[in-house]
Amino acid sequence: MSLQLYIFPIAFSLVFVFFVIELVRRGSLREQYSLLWLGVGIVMLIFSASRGFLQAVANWFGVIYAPSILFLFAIVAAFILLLHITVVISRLTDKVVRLTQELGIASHRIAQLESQLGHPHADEMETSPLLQAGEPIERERNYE
Amino acid sequence: MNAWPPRELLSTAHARILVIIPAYNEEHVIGGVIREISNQPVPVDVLVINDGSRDKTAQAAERAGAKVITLPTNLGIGGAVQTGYRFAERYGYDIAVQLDGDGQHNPLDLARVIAPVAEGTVDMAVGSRYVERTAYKSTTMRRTGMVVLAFMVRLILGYSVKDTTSGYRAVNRKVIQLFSRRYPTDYPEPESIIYLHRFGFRIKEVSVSMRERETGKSSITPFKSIYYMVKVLLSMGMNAIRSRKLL
Repeated sequence: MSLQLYIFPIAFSLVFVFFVIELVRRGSLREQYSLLWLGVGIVMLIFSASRGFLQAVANWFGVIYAPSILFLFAIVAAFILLLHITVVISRLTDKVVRLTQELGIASHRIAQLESQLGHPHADEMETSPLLQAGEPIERERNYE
Repeated sequence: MNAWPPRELLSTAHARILVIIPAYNEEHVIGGVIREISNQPVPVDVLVINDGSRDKTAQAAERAGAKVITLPTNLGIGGAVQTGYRFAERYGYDIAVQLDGDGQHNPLDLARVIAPVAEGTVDMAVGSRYVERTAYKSTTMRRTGMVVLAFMVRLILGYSVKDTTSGYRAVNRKVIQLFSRRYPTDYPEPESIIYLHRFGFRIKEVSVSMRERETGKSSITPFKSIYYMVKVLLSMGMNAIRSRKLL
């Protein structure tokens, strides 16, 4: 086996692990999810560094062409991960719905209280002030 | 019969009733619907849930004298309606009525829909197109879907609710509390019937006259109808097999 073929996967795995760490450091990836990706990176690193390891695993499963077992693992892992992500999205959706509802109810209450207090601009506002304050959200999106 | 709330509450207007109208881009009809509600005899508060409309639905509704809650993003019918139930829960309403903002539900039927709930004979009354012969017409495909849904409901409930997709319904305080905790999303009407049944609530249909909608069209286009049926049947089935503590 050529040296390049040996070095390239190791380098790739290392870069991947450091990239994940960097994402966590910048706050773009939560620690809880980063554990999974660090695990993936370390497994990649082990497989790239030791050719015998992959062969041993393949032999144990009775697989003749060793790399095919890598594909199997990768596909199964990807499916599980996708399922997990849709579960997370469902949970997030529920939370966003609940927040949106509460925001609507709270804004209505604020507008009501303001008009009772004779807020100087209460009549001029088309919707409640909370709903017009979309700016901070935009700013955060462009933050990076 | 243990009447809840007692019948006389209705006539003396001591039962606080909230009419919840989910509305998405209904600026041309919403005002008329609200005025029709104020002109009918039952005293009610009207709450419009402006579900992220891009037109002047909120202003039109406010001008007609309704309370308006504007949601900053579009949640869809389930999330919008639930906002109304949460409002009703928080502000102590005894009865909540759900009514479409597009004008196809006749506000003159309000008393008929509210009556069984106010008398305490049922927990939810559904305004139905099918109980008696009314002027309602429909396409074959749509009717087929309705029959399938009604069959499923009959199978699970043991009694029939023919117009499972009707969004014209009145509920009592106990259901308001349940709905504000959890309410089905996407196409909530048929699913919510099964959901209530699982909690032992009683449901009854009353006949109402449906009108042609004044603007817009059904949210269910032919392309979506297959997805609609599969999704609704799945949700109904899930509600039927889900253990009570997960509901």
